[in-house]
Amino acid sequence: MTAGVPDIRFEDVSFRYPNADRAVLREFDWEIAESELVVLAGESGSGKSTILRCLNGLVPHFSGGEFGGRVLVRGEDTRFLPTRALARSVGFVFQDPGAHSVSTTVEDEIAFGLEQLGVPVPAMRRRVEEALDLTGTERLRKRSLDTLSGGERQRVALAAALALQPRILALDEPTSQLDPAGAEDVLDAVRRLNEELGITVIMAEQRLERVIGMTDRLRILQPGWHDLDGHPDEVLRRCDPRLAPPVALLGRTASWSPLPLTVKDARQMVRKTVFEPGPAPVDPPRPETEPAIVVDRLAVGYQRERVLESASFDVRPGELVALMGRNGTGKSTLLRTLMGLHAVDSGRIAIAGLDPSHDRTQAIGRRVGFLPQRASSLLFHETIGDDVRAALESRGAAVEGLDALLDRFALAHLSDRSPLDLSAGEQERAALAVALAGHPPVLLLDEPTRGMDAIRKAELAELFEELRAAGIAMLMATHDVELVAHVATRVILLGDGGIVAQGGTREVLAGSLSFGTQMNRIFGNGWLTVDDVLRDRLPDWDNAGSDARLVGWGRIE
Amino acid sequence: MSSQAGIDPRAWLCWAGAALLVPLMGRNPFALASVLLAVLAVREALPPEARAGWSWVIRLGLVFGAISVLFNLLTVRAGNRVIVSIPESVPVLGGDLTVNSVVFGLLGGLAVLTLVLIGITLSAVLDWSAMLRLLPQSLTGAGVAGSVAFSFFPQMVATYREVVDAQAVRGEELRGPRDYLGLAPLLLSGGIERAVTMSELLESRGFGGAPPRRRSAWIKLCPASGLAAICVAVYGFAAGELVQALVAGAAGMGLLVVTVLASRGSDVRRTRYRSLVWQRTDWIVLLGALLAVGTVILTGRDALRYEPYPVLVWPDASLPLTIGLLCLLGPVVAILWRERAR
Repeated sequence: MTAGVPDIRFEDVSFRYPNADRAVLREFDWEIAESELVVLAGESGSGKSTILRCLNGLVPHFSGGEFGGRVLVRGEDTRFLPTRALARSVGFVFQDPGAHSVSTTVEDEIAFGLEQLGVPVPAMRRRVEEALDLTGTERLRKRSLDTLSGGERQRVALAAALALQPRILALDEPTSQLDPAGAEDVLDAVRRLNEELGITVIMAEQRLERVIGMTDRLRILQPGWHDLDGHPDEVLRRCDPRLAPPVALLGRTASWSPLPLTVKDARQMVRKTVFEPGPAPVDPPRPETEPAIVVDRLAVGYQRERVLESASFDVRPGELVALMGRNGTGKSTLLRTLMGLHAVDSGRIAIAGLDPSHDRTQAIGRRVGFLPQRASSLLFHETIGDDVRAALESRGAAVEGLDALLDRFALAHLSDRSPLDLSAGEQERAALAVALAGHPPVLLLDEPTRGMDAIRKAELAELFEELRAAGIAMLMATHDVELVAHVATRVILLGDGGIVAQGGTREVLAGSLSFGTQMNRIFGNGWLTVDDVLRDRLPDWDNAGSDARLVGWGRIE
Repeated sequence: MSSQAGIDPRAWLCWAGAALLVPLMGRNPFALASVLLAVLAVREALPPEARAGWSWVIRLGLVFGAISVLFNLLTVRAGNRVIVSIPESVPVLGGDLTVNSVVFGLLGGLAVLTLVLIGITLSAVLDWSAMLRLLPQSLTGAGVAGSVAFSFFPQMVATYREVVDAQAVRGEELRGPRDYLGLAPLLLSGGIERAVTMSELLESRGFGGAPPRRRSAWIKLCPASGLAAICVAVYGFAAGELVQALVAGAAGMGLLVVTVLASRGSDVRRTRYRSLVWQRTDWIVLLGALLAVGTVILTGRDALRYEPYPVLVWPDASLPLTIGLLCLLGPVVAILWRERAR
């Protein structure tokens, strides 16, 4: 499977976290060759982060737990080296750049590790310069970390890891919190490090469409089953279709060989095979109903800075409106303002018949479901059952509906468990149950798919369809372009200072450079998803059996 | 590398140490007011971003102050100025409620508020990463522990805000003490989770470098014994035993110096990308702090004392002490100096 000398070797590794019911890794064997760029994918909880943490010894030195087997990193056994010693050969970049900095300015952050290892000052200066150049952060060198965008912070984190001149880079979902442009910047830097310096890269990533074009090898973890490991073409042909990026899914459906991994590959295949998509779909008309959310000339901001100016829009029952824009353009602030958690500077809001300028958040919360970025923060009662019951009571709904609600979100068996004991996926389901308890007519969601695996995302898309059909008005802040293309009826694009575009999903996303989907980049016009492209090419498609359908995620034979 | 306001973190630590002496050692209202005024003036001189976001801590200090007054009033039955006499038959509250107890409670509250203000001023100005760089190699563990502790409180506050917001958006409210108590496990787990993330990051960035060379058991005992001796010194000082305090203090400092010197022999010597440069303005802050401490030592502990029991009397005002404590305004002078130079 691997070419060249193995840089990393997992030998029969088993690991169980302290107090966990089951082992997250069982007799795991793996070899990664020098200079390979490997992507790890798989469901949440399948062990991606654990594998990465084994590389620099955070597992088991920091995590505790039961560890068996051994991990060799460039021939050295991680069991006998502390993390701080492994830092010389393994650079580690965490998921959330905001929570992972030790200094206040960019230069100091990059130099920190070098100072710890006692690198002489002249050499240190050279390495800091190199790290700044390699990651394109030179112009940020004097800036305070607080003033950087998410993408910039993540590139600084990358520079800080690189300054130690590691031969191996481990990246734990480095783009999950970034907007598409920020993600591209970070991944471009990673690709150059791999190609030009030969650094071995192991990256956990959920959004394969962002990384698959630069990947040498893809491993999809499937606990309790055989992992898929090999060249992306080979793995993407065999994996659950919901995991495949749109270009690969199109290639699978059209039986193209080799499988396209990038938009460029797919475009060539389209030309070569004279592939014609069905007629370009258009946005459906808006429902003729009274809006559930009306925002009129809204201005909000922080102490010195105005984030939104003169923003006006409405959301009607049965619509799912996506709020998109770069990091820091005020998506979360707008949602918090609608909930009454952030002050209105000027303008008018009506949400479910209430006005956040006058009505208390508690009153709004009784009519509006809200899913914050960290969904688990919604859970603070002793048990999940208590949490959902309290949510029903606060919305004046019949507590008899508790069992049905728990069943709906597959939580019945967890009803007596503490929210703190649940996995990330279970916590997300429980938070959704709380947000939707008592059937609120409006639902606000703040990046609900952040760090979510493709299969759970597909389930969420299915839920959105149900909620739209039930007439719920939804407003969702997100960076996930492919998800928006599948589920949103309208898009509001935020830029510096306010709304820069709004309209039907196709109207806004089609032709967008930053927020375009893979299918749109290939076919243009109103084609956004694999579904759009194939719709009228296979007339009996809608009558296909449920096994042949991909819920909300395109379709496959 | 430099801390907020461009003053060396070591100078800030000396300033905070000097400012803490009075609220920890005495209740003389003039001395307390002098320190409080100096600290407020220093806060006022800081850039706005360093002052923002701490109002809730100040409010918490005020709440503790109010509790201190109420607690004294309702529990202390001493003093010559009676406000009202409650029949002895009333459980707990029965007896004379006195002005003396209110005054003592007020002074306790003032001391708490001063301590809180010193703490938040230090938090706002201290660059923790610069402090980490100052730590000797052998105190790596302490550095990791310190960074966990340093990030624990703000992280817990962030978790608290998140939960209170989440409760509001669920249409629920925190009503009684039971609701607040119910938050404890969440706050602790949230704070610990985030603090552990910080320590993982430090290790991943090579903090501590290679492990220090093996040392004898005696050397290993030095840090703990040094800290213990310093605690004894502080206690001696508080008890008015100045000679013993000075002896214990000197011994403690000596042991800590031995610890630092011993750490110099470790396999990896850390280097600094940008050295801390001790500037004239740092001397101003240090000198102010030393003058304040010197005045406290010279005027003696009695000048800091004030007892409103059993007879309420006007407190003594010591002009030299007040002037000495106002030397804690050093950072204000330093900040103005730097601004003028710029």
